Amino acid sequence: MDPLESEGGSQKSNNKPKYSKFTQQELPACKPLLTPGIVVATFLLIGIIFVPIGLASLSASQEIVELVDRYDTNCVSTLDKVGFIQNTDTDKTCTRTLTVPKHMKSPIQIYYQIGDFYQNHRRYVKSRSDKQLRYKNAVHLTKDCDPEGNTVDGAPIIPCGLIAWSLFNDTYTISVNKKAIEVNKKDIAWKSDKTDKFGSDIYPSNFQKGSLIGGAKLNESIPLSEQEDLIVWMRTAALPTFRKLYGRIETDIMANDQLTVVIQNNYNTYSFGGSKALVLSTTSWIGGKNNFIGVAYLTIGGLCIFLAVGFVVLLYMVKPRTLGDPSYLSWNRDTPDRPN
Amino acid sequence: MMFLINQYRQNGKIKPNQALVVFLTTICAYSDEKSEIEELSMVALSGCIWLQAFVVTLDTNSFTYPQIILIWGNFIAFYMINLIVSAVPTLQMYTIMFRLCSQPSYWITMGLIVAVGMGPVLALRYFRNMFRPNAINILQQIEQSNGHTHTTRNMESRIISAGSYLTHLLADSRRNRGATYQPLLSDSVASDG
Repeated sequence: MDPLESEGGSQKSNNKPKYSKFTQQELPACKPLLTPGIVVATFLLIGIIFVPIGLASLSASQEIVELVDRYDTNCVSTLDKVGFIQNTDTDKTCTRTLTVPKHMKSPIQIYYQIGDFYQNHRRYVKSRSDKQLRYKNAVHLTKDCDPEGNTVDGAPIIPCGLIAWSLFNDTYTISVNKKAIEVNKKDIAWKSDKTDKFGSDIYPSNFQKGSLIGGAKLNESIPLSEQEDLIVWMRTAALPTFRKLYGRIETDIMANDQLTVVIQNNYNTYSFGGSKALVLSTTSWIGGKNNFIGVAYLTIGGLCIFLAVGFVVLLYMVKPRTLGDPSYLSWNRDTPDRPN
Repeated sequence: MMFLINQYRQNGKIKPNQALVVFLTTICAYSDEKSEIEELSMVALSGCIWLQAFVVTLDTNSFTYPQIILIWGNFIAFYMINLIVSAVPTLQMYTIMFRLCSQPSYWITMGLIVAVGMGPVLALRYFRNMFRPNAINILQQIEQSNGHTHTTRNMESRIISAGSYLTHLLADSRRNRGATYQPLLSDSVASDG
């Protein structure tokens, strides 16, 4: 064999890159195009899927029976509302009467609703100590909780922070047709919060003992993991008007029943111009009463069907050129200097 | 939450109006006033992830399996990572994702965000391809429609067209320096021949 030829072959094989389909861009590829058929089919498909979902969502939302009773304005008759609510000696009992318009199927959720309360304010949201709520040996970790971290003589407040300090403290007693009805206040908090975020061996201490009282006092013989009102309140709301679960009614309420609610109107929303309301609501798979999803789905579904039909009509009216016609390429036109 | 959406928009794949769609849809769908901050944040972030997957899919001209794996792998990884994070008790996000995924309203909201975000883009793109195509669109259509024809005349004419295309592209580029760059298809067209 010719030695030069052998040497040349060896050099070539050394420099040649290793072959693979990936490096040579020979992988099997799918190259879809936006052809009229694909686009019309896509929009029709979206329309056909969305309209029934919209109808189902809207129907579920309409089935929910919801009573909202705003009581903060009517439960204080004096002009000085702030003075009334801050005075510990005044009788803050308030009785409201509601008529149930439709049959309410159990369980019926009871919420309190507060308006214009910004629980998402950054300094408010940060004013808590999760370690203190969880671990017995972390009671002294109150730095993030100022000004509600310690008492004047330096003892730690449990639970500390502005969120706990401003715990909601109105109460509701409900009767149906003059007959007292039980409000179940168990399991209103998330189970994960009760088992993992709040300690079962930590008890309230020095809570609401300062000169400023922000909200409810806590029973110091109940551990934090069982203080469900507190746990619910400390799930800070995302929006300024929010509802939080107060309890449940485990029996049905019939249409035209007369509801009597005795409210202890303790919570001060008058200082900052907020509002308070009591909400009774049934539930369904869609969550709360919210027509937005249903209406939006129906609108989008209808629009997509309209667009699909419009595209089909346009095809016959405008008759676009054949797809992939080379004569439309810029260099094949009569005036090649015109920009594309 | 707006920070999250804005941060996601800045990676270039989600347009400002799509970010607005995510924000408004999330607020309206979860306006039953019982939502926590973490819940609302996660719904909006999920909306961005969904939209991103569909935007990239629409922008891709040629799908080989690496593309498919990367686009939808990103999507799946998002959920796997968040479900893992939701299982850590000491974090604020504890159990949020489990809760959301078990709600029908969450998935319905995601579908709504994708439809509202992608529908107009799809329609506009279709109109542009159909009535005012650029050279890339025409060449793609040529490739598709003639993909299975192997006559000598077609091969020769396509090679000639590709050559002319390159010449004119260089000329056009000199005149239109501000034009958005688009990848050449001449190699794949020629190699088809």
